Amino acid sequence: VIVLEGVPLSPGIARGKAMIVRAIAAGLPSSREDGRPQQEQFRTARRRAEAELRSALDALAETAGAAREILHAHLILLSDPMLEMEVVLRIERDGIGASEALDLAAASLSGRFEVLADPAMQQRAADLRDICECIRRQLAGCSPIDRSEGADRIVCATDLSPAQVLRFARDRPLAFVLEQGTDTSHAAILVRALAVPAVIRVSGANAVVQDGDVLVVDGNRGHVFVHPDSDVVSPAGGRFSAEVDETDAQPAHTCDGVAIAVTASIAHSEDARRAIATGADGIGLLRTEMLFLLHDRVPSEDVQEAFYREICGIVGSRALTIRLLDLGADKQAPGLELPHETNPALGLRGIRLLFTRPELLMCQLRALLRATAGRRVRLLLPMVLDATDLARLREILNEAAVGMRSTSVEIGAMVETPAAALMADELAAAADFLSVGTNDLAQYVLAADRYSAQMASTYQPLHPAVLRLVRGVTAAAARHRTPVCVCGEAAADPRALPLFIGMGVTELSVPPPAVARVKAQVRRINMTAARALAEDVVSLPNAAAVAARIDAAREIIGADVLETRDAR
Amino acid sequence: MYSKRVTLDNATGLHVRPATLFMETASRFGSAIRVLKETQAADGKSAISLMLLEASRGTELTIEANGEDEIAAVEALVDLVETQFETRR
Repeated sequence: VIVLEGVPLSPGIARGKAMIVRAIAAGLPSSREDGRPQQEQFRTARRRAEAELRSALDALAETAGAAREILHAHLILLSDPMLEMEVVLRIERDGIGASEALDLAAASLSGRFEVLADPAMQQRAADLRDICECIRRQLAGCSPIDRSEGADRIVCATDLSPAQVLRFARDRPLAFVLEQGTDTSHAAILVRALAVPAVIRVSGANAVVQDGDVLVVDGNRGHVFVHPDSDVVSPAGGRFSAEVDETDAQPAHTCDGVAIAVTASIAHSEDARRAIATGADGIGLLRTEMLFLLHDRVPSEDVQEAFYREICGIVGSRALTIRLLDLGADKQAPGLELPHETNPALGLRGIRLLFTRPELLMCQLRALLRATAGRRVRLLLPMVLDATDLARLREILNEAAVGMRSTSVEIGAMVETPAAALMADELAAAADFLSVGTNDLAQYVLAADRYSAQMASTYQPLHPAVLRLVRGVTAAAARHRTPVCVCGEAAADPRALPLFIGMGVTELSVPPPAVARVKAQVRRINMTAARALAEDVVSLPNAAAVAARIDAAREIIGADVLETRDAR
Repeated sequence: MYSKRVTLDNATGLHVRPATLFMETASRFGSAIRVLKETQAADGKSAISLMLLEASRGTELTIEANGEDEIAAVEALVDLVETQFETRR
């Protein structure tokens, strides 16, 4: 065993195989062979880069304020008309390809920022180069999920740019080891926000570590062990095996015996494999947008069917909830030609869009029915307002099912609009299950854009206004014996999930890496205490009071032991 | 076309945050919007372009808009500058 010393950046301990990451700017293929107009290629790549940034933002915890601000700044630059103009001008005037035009435009603009004396402006120069790297990667055809980069590996590099770190936001690696780096750089802030162990300034890492080497990374103390013995014990005294390979396939009950299903929220088959490997009780939310974002046109029924079939194969007999296409708002997809709206979050999205595009809905439903024939599946409708939406979907589903092998389909409503929460009684009566989407519900209840840096302190998912609505939903659901799931970031938040359980939620759908941790916490929760806490918080005057009340109850809700493991 | 002159009176001028707020406000309008500083001109809907104006405190700017909502656009932007980019909660 070789021990390398570095500086701890992000706490935790991980064991796994090294993946060496080199600077990627060089050696990308030129995009000129592609026959489409270069301007169009640029715009497609930029749209994909934007989708990638937004999904990275979604993958970050609400508490990762600094990292979210960086991503917001990147999103603003990415859609800047001056950047677009500079690129298009070069394509048209100089007859060069999109990649080359982008490089020249980025160099020219960042050069103009670099000569300004203000350090904040020099940071804009770096930001511009970063976002151009994101776009260039999309131009070269590197889609965010084709390769499951870094998943189950330890990423080793000399240094990483923020754009490179972002590549890993979805497929979280086990750990990061950097030979250089500073703990105040944008890249460092993003690495910490991913909440995986990381060590920087590890001297000798490049010379010693080879691709595929087994490493143990101790982010608490800043040590990297190369070729460790299989049962090595950390200098801190903790055994690695307890922290590594977190997998927990046992069902979870509260300590007084209430069963809570801990399922995974996923977007693609790699996620599904990961979810099952960590012991998820099933899939609580399969988002279907990724499939549409990755193709240049609307995917055919066959393409969609193959995607759902692959997921079904991985999930096996476990529960599977598939959300119908939730495009619109911030997510645009090639080929759909969605209308431009001044306020897309309040516009044509989710089920509203599907009802106006019957061919799109019919295609997705038929693909789903074909792929799930003979098994039980739950379909979830996004952006529901009331039970009329459910009735209408059932009718269309019956039409789609004509001539098909029967599938046992349950229909559920996403509760993410205030209207749905207020109509919960009727919805619970009409639906087979309900799923509370905390991210959007909080955004709509608080009238605060969750992507706006200015709203970061106003967007408070645990505001009593949000919690009161959730409690109303669980109470209505209980009257009709309709099960309620919670998905969204709050479902995996150790401070929030006891409230949901206290309100009567019986399923939490969380990111795959959080499954084992959430199960461990569920087992520590006492239902009587959780109920009392849930009753308490809804009568508090503001979010700060809710946070204080949760802090006071940390031990009884099992959040105390877990917080030390979560880099916050 | 409609335009107005205004003097930057906030501490940081058209720095990162003010430029972003300016761009966000300008983008709500359909009119084309330009910001003039002496001989330089910036696109009011581009934060990059606004920051590159290097307009510090005390700089006089002309905000001009061209389009159906040009008057509302200029007035909203003048108001933003005059209230020193204090956004209302």
